[in-house]
Amino acid sequence: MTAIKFDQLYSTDPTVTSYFGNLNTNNNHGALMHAEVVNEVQIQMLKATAESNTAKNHGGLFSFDNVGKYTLTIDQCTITGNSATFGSGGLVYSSSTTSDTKVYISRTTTLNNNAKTDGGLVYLGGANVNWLTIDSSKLQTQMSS
Amino acid sequence: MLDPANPTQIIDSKTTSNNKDGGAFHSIISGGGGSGNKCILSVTGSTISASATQGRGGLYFCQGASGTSSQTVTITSSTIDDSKASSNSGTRNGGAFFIDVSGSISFSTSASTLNN
Repeated sequence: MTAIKFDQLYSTDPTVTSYFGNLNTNNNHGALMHAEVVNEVQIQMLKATAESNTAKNHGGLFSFDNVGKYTLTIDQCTITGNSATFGSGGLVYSSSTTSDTKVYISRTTTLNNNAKTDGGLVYLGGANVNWLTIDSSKLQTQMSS
Repeated sequence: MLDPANPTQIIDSKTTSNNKDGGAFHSIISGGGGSGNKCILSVTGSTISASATQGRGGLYFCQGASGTSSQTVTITSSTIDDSKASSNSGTRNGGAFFIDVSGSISFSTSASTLNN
């Protein structure tokens, strides 16, 4: 299994958070990360701000393709203005070649994320199980347009 | 959590378009179907507003592939606000939820407000 953690980096100051902004992919998926893992991957994004990231196709921040299982945890984050310009999943996209998906969003605020086609915030295309949990969060104006 | 003693089932009809669905969340089971295939949406203690401006399922769109697939939706202590499917209401279904699976659907809300 592969584990990836976007945490508070190396700061000991609890008020310091990670920042991901204005990232983009000119031609494809996942402005912050595109993962292709045959077996299993766990990704955590904690206490981060992600804004104005753009994928030309799918997954404004995260994209998963050909993954057996993945778990994505987004906790205590602010996610604003990310987009899948011509595709699906303004924040997260997983393709049909992914088997089992788990997305857990907690204590997070999102605003004005959008996708051109399906899933203004989250698009899950897993072959077997798609599990989406939203806990203690405020999600506003996710547009699928 | 889902209250198995008090489920409410909703089934929405199919439309011809597969694009621009699921204002916030779009979940589609792409496998060949089977008893283990399922979509699960759980919302607790949250506020969500979303719209599918040209599609189905203002908040959530779920579709299962052929065969048996199931859907469980649980909304607890949450507010779903201002969710809309396309204004072209003649062809776009599911103002907040669009669910189309070939197996079972379990839909439960508790202490929540769904307001357009």
